[in-house]
Amino acid sequence: MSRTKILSAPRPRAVGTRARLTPRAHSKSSVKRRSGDRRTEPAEGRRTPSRPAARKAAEAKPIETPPDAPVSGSEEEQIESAKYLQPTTAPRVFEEERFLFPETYGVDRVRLLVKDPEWLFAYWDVSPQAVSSLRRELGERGLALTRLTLRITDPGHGGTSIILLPYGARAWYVHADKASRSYRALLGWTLPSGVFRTLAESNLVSTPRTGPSPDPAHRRLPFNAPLAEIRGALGAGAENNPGPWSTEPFDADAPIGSRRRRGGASDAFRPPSAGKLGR
Amino acid sequence: MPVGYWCPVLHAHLPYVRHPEYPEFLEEDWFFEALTETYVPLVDVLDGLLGDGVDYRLTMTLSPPLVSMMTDDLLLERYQRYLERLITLAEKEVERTAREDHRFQDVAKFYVWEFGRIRSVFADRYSSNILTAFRKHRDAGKLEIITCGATHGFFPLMDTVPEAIRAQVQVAANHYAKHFDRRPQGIWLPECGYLPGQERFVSEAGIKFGFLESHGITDAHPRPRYGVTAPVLSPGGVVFFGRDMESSRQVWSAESGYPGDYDYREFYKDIGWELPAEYLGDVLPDGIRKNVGIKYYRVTGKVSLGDKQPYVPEWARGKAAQHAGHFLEGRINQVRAAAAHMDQPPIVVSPYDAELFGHWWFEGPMFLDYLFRKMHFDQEVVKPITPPQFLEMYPDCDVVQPPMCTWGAKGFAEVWLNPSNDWIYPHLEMAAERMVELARRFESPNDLERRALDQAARELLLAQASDWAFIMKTGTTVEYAKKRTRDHVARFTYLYRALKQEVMLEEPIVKEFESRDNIFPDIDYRVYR
Repeated sequence: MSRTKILSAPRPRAVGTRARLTPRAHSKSSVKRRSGDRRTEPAEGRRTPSRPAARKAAEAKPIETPPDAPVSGSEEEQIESAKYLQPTTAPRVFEEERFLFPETYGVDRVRLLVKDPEWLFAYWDVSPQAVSSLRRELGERGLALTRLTLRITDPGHGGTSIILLPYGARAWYVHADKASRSYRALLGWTLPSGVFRTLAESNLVSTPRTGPSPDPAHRRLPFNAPLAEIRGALGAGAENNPGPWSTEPFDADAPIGSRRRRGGASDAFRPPSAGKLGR
Repeated sequence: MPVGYWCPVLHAHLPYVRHPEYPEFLEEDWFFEALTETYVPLVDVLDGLLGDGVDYRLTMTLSPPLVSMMTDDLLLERYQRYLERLITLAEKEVERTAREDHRFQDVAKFYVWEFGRIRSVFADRYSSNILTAFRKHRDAGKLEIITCGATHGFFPLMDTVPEAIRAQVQVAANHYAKHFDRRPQGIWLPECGYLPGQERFVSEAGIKFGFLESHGITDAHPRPRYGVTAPVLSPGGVVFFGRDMESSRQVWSAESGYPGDYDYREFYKDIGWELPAEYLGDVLPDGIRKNVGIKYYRVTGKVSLGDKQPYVPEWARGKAAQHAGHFLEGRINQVRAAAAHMDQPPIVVSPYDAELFGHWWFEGPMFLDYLFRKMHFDQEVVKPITPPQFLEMYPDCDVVQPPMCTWGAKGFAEVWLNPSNDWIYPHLEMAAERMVELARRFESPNDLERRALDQAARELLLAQASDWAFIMKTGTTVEYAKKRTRDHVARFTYLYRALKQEVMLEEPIVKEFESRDNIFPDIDYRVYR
């Protein structure tokens, strides 16, 4: 079908398919071009000029051509144009665009993910019931003086990082120790009295070791050896004990200049206003 | 007997993009471009090698979403349309360049030939079923096809719901068995992402080997004796081969990699951006600019796009041969140096994204062709091999615990976990927890509930594709990645709530979801128990 005919048809073909109306940037049109990834930094001389911004794909609407909509033009034109009409699409029965990611799932929980050897990512959810309960107990003033707090601990070797979270934050990048160690997060309230009250406990994570191990491998086994034998061969394999984790408290609401970095440093990653999830 | 071995690995994966609700969809082009520029040219190269008696060996991931798209009738029909439009345009270009610019005449004719060749291989030789080709080479003992996560979920960030990782592996392994008539022996961990202990899910699926980024081997504890030149055995019973950085750099590096050679085809200068939209016609549905795959210029040098010089296919071919020789020489030196300190032949493992060859580096398939031929005919020092073939000869491995690692920038999870995409993880985790809850709750669902449960599993899997977080980070088609995350979580959430009787479970809605997200038709939701 020719483009000219489509455009000249009295009732143009409904075109809702497009992800864009404006050109996609050259550098962004490739299959899995992984710019920014160390594997795919474009070769010198391959930089691309900037292009107009693309229209949001998410805003593209599917074709919704009422099958019995009136068609203008002569009878001949109508017959001709019918060649270019899309097959009638079924009415939509579900509108994904009406879905909003929830602010809360109504549970008290906290999770840790390992980003790299020095940074963890903590995210959490506090149920409205937990807040209501605290309000009933402490009153509005007591609630206002209470701080949501993350306590990151190394359960194996000791040490705790205390992070007084800013109001509305739903996630935080936590600065870990340079040494490989394990961490668990406790989410809770620091009450006006200074007492910490736990709301939820996270999963246990470990940051990866970096650099070669000082201990050379001592056992070889066939790849199809029984699992028990393989695990036995690895043995305890005691790594160097990193000792207790030494940290200092961090108050996210303290003036920027007075913040102490160690123990919590999301301000290195996100602007102060960008604490919320579900953008 | 060779001094050492070379194990090339091509990771072929694209996210599942299929939009039956639209007559055309721009992001479906990812698959069509990759077929035209990478998968079909690679198959043609392998066919030539096999026909000429070249003893090549290649390991290749065919990810489940890619296999699903390769066998999807709707996408194959659309690909035929895509290719026909491209051929028509190439023919028009021969006429136009004859009229307007003779400098590009030969290249225009080359494209007519090239696209005709692609159509011939795809439609005539393999009847539009390219998997047949891969199976043929597998059966010849030359190609080891491995699997991946079901939808390329990034395992290190799924650790809070282990059942979700198990499902990614089990669904992928079952999908592989359906399409390749046997269980997979190997896996490409999505994004080469590994967290200690996660290999148990791989082992449970009967998979024997995988691959790790270099520091996953060199920083393992205890320290492997031979670094990345020998595989290691992890505590979960899975063998891991380590990525060799030297051979990776030769292809990937922005500074010194082959694809940046001045005689190779320039990726960014495409007629889709330069000729009038009216002239390009159907190749640009609705006049939207995009790369169409016809490019007339070579890299030329560190010059602006406006100063690029015409592409000369003969020069590029010569460079591909030259680079193949250089690459081979590097591997020969490498295995000789490593073998001097080892009690078994070293293995050099070179993994790449398959789409690098042909799509990004147009001459990539040609390079592989020359390389395998030179390796076969010109020397005896290094020979290509697949992991199972290597393990059959040298089954003993150091037992070590690899650390967390990925092949993303900086070697860890930053690409998939940063302020541009971190907001998705609470929602993905909650959806995974809910899926496990559903799987445990429904012992004997009725027919509609069963369909809803299976569809919920599909929606969760599709939402978990690492491609969406990756795109959000790199800023390419961010709105599409956000839309896909939202759409799948929205559909999943509806199904979850309906199955919990918070809203009405409506058959037309389930049916619509099934028709849109039709991947894994045989999935069984109980994989999440």
